[in-house]
Amino acid sequence: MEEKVRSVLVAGAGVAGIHAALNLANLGFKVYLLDKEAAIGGKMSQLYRTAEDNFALGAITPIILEASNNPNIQIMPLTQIEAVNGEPGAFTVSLKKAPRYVDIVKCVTCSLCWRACPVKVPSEFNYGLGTRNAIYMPYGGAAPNKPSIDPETCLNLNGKEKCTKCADVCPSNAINFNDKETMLELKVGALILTPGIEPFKDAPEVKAFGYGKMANVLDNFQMDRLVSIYGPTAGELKRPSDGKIAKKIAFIQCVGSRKPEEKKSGAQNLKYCSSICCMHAIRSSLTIKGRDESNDISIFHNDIMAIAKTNEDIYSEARQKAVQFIRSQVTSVSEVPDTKDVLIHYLSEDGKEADETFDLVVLSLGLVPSKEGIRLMKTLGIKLNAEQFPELPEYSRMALPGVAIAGSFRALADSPEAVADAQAAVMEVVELLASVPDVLPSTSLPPETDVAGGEPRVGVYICDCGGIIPKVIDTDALLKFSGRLEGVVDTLKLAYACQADGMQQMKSSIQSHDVNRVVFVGCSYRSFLPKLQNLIREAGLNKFLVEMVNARELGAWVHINEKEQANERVRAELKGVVAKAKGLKPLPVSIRDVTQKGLVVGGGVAGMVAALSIASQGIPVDIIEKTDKLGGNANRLSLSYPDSLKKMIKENPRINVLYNAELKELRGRVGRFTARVQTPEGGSTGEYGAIVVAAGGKEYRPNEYLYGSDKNVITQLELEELIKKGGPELKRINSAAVIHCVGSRNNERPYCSRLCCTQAVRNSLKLKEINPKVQIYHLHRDIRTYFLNDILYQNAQKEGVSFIRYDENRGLDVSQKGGLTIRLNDSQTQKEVELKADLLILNAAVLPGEDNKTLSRLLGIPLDKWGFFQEESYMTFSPVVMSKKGISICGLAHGPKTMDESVSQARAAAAEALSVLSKEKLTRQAVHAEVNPGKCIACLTCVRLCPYGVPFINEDRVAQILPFECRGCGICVSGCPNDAIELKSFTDDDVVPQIEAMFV
Amino acid sequence: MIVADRKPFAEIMSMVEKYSKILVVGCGSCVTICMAGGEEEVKILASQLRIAFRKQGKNIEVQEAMALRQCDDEYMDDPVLIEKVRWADVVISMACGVGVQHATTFFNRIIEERPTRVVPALNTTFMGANLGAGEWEERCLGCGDCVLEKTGGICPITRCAKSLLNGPCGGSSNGICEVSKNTECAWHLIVERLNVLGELDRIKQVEPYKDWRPSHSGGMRKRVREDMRI
Amino acid sequence: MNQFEPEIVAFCCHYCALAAADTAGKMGIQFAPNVRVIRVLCTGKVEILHLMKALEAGADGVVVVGCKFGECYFKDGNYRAQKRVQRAQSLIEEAGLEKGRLRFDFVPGPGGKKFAEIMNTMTQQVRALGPNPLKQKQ
Repeated sequence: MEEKVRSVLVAGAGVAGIHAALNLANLGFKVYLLDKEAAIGGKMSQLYRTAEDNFALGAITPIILEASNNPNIQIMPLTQIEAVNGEPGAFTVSLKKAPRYVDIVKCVTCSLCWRACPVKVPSEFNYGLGTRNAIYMPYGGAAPNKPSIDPETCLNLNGKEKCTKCADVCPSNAINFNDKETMLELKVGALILTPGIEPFKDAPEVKAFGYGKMANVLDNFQMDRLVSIYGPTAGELKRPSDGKIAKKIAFIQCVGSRKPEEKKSGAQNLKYCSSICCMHAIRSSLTIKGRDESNDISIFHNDIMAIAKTNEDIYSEARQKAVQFIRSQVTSVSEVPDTKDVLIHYLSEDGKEADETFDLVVLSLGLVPSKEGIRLMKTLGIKLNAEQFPELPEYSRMALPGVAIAGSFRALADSPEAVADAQAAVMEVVELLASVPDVLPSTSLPPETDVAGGEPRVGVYICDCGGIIPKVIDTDALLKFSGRLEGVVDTLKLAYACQADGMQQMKSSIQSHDVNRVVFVGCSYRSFLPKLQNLIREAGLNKFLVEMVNARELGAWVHINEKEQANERVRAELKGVVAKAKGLKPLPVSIRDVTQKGLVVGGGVAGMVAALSIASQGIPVDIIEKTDKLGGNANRLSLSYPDSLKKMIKENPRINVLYNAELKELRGRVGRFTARVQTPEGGSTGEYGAIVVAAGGKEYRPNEYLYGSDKNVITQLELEELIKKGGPELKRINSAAVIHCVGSRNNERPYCSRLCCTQAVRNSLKLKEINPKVQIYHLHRDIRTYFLNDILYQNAQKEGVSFIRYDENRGLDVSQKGGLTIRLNDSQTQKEVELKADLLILNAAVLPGEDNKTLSRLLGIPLDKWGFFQEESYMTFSPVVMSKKGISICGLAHGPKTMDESVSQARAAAAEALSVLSKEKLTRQAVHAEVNPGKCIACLTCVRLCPYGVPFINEDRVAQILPFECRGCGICVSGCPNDAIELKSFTDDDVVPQIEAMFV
Repeated sequence: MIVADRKPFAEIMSMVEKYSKILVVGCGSCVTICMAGGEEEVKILASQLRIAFRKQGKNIEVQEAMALRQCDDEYMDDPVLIEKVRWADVVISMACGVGVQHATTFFNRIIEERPTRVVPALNTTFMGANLGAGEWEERCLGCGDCVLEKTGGICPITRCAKSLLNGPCGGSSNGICEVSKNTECAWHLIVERLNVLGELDRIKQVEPYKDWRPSHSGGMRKRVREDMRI
Repeated sequence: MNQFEPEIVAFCCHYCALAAADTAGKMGIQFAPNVRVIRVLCTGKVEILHLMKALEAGADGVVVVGCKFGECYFKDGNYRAQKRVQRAQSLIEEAGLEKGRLRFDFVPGPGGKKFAEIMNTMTQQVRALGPNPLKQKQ
């Protein structure tokens, strides 16, 4: 048997794949991050705004950079899996790497090549709007930050011309037209596949609606690029036909999807709901309305899938801002010949026909698994279901032993869920490889030179960037100038600092001249600083003893005609930076011991899954359960899964359950928490490194519709219990009515409870099984059976279950006269309907647990406005990450979700906890704020200002900031009224000399 | 906590413009917390002074110093601070009125060779609470005879513009005081609180007129703990 | 006499302003070479005192360039920076300098053009004010 390896291949570097890679690297795995494209980032880098309404490219760029700079992650662009052999722990993967035609080692990203390229073709990054060259980068900040040549459109490579324009201008000889496809092999322990999704353009309905034929009919992805201020029109809604600014815009939802009919041959419409397009259209509408309120927007829709906890608010905001929501069936789309306006013909809900003309029409296309993903499934022999999504075991992401699938390719969902899904896959892989020893090479770096007390010896290294910088900046003169600056002991000019020669020259010069502070003049801080930091560390210096002047992006390229002033400017910045560098202090690696024991609050399904995942890594876990048994809400469901979890918990010696227990106090921070827990046997105190909150939620107890006074009015969960018991009473029921959204989507609780539509439809099908003659009516406002659940909804309709949308303004009336009677107004027929039912089932809202308030205060983590725990959604994507480090969240405590979603997020939360618990010590070496306890007067300003709640008043009654938690913004520093906080590397002693030296 | 506010720069400037050696001394307690006289504010005022004087073409020197509390001798009795005070023509105190007075007395007692001139940079405004970063509100007037037990923990002396003791005046509407739309009517709050506490009937008791002698109306106040003075 | 060329200190945030500067560079967008860049991780860290120190040191103007509102890498650092620059403006005005010598502006990462515009606008604004009077009287 082959030796097992602690490495994982992640295929598909979108937001899910990158997160998986970062998680794995953090847990001590070697990661290969593959993408078949030339740059990583996936669909997220093309998106304008994320599900949380953050600027998507801004949100994903930091994690792209983090992955690019992580020594445990090897990014492999233009690479595809060809074959996988072997077994879990010891796979051999054959890979095919497509040629880039650009040597990324030689390339200095100077942009000359694409400016010289004569080819202009539609840009894939902009979904065909706008153009790119044959040698190109999809967008400015793409990673790797190097261009590639598209062989299809390059005149030289497609054989049309002997064009060498890019190669002619390339200063570093990086273009290689003879680059070839290469094959390689990797040994990995497991694979995580996150190949993503793509819009489905072949659906008959998409074609019928003029897509690709009518100039002003776009798809929702193209619209997103048009709305984006970073898109091809800088956010101006210029319509393709004539460039006129579109003012009247229609979105048509579910085009080519949610269509149950089957055709005999040819392309089919999709049956299922794509989950995310409703909110995407609503968000785009709000952006467009936000730019100009007079823009007229109509959304032609069916059910609105506002299923995440904040969605309903956004939906009502759109209605308030006069976005027209037209519940309808669009029957045809045609083009007005002269104006190229688009005419929509539709049937409104009440059956009336109508026409309306728009400047621009957007089709919300259905989403399908990517072709690359399907190819991968075939290569690996993973079965696909009828809808072409992978078939997976229940509550698992592991398609085959050692091969996990996650992200939107597994299930269509918003980015936070896709990320949680990827983290769950990571957790399953980590569980699988638990016994494989850590093999990450311990880097053999020289000891750091002690610079304390010694005189600063500054080395100034100036890069010519192959002659690009000297075109404007006289680097020879600059070199002489730098040699005259006080403290400078070594100066050197390099042709290409970023290439192996240059790096070696700098390193030896640093060492031979005993340089202890480094100043580099060359390209961008953002791209070169991490490499420079690694170099000086290899030369024996602390990483933070380096400063830079950007003479390329901020010099030679932007001051072409003002050479004299540009030189003066670079000299001034150099003086400043040398002055700063002289005083720079090394930043040591901060270390914090970790108590390698986990605490899980809540013993429901989410809590049990999280505890088992943590324990799988040999780490002990305590579960605090407030009742006398495990299982929580799931005990009421007809599922066997909770029982198997209970058994595993019972048999696991590392898991200790405290029953009837209550958390009373929590002190400490990430890595070392102290919890005081009260049980009937008395109080106890435990030490933990990380905490998973799985405190659960509960079902709303309705006070409407005779619930509580008529025994035939029950909740959906009570129906589950009856089904679980298999009681004979269900056989006797001849008619049943289901009322949706009882206690949710109202003024008090505007959120959607998400899981009830699907649960109700599933239970209706079960009732039909028990008694095929039963008549069932669903009384609803929207049916939100998102993704494949929509097929259940279609099945229920086929089985004769009636779905009646009632007029919510007139409401429902339930009375008891001669049996349960429900009166409502059918919004389709516009008529009053009276129904009789033997059983009335209420889809009662999911409520936050009653302990959430207390827990929130004890744990120091926030609740949202409805009382669920609020994840840190800013710039993170994961719904399990809390603002306070060391605490993660899962299950209903975070908001309504299905069992599968709870399980997935429980694993994700465990993976977060393990990023702390799996280490004996936390280490971090980064810019952070530090409190001078001698000056701190505990005024609380920093505690109140920190955007992440990091500073706290410690037992010595002074503020403290842990380097492991601090993100280095320095907001507390500028706020401190007593100058008691410093941001390392940006202290007054660093910055003030820098400012002053520039004007000497 | 004592809350203070910095004086307009022009007023500070008028106090010091005839001098050429200026010392700015901050106070590291209440006024640091209320962001009026801590080290950060000392540095900012010093910078402003340098800019203003240099703009006028004057060559003056500004030095900076801190005392943990200007209202305690021991914290002022710092050799470095005293050295700077000796050097200065004028000392700008960034403490509350208490600190300024105490500093004047202290420095003049310690430095015998010439009088020390201490001028205030702050206006001491009130005793109040910090409502969050950057926001303070008055809570106590120091009347010397606390009534909070009767009023549900809300002070009508301080928070009612008229210091009324027997319910609101006619200027209370929808819980807001007629003096300012940003001020809640104290009596409205008191009634609400007493209601919550189940003590609403207490407002029926008529309070006699208040004895203002323990307040500042009786002149400067002094307190002595005999057991501590021995 | 040549026109007055002001010297301007630009505090630029690492995440947006410097990304925008890189974009400007890659796109070759030309702008006034009067700025001297100081890198900060977040404009929320820029201290009032540092703005004033730059003027004391002889800078003719100081511009703080942060992320677009709502897009700050650190949530609200840019809002704080804007408020702080406003306070610094009134402080220097009290001390006799024109408040136009200080400016806050913002730019999204891909906004190369906007970055160049900010640098040009600030240069023009300070050029109109003339040299820092502290420099002349030193």
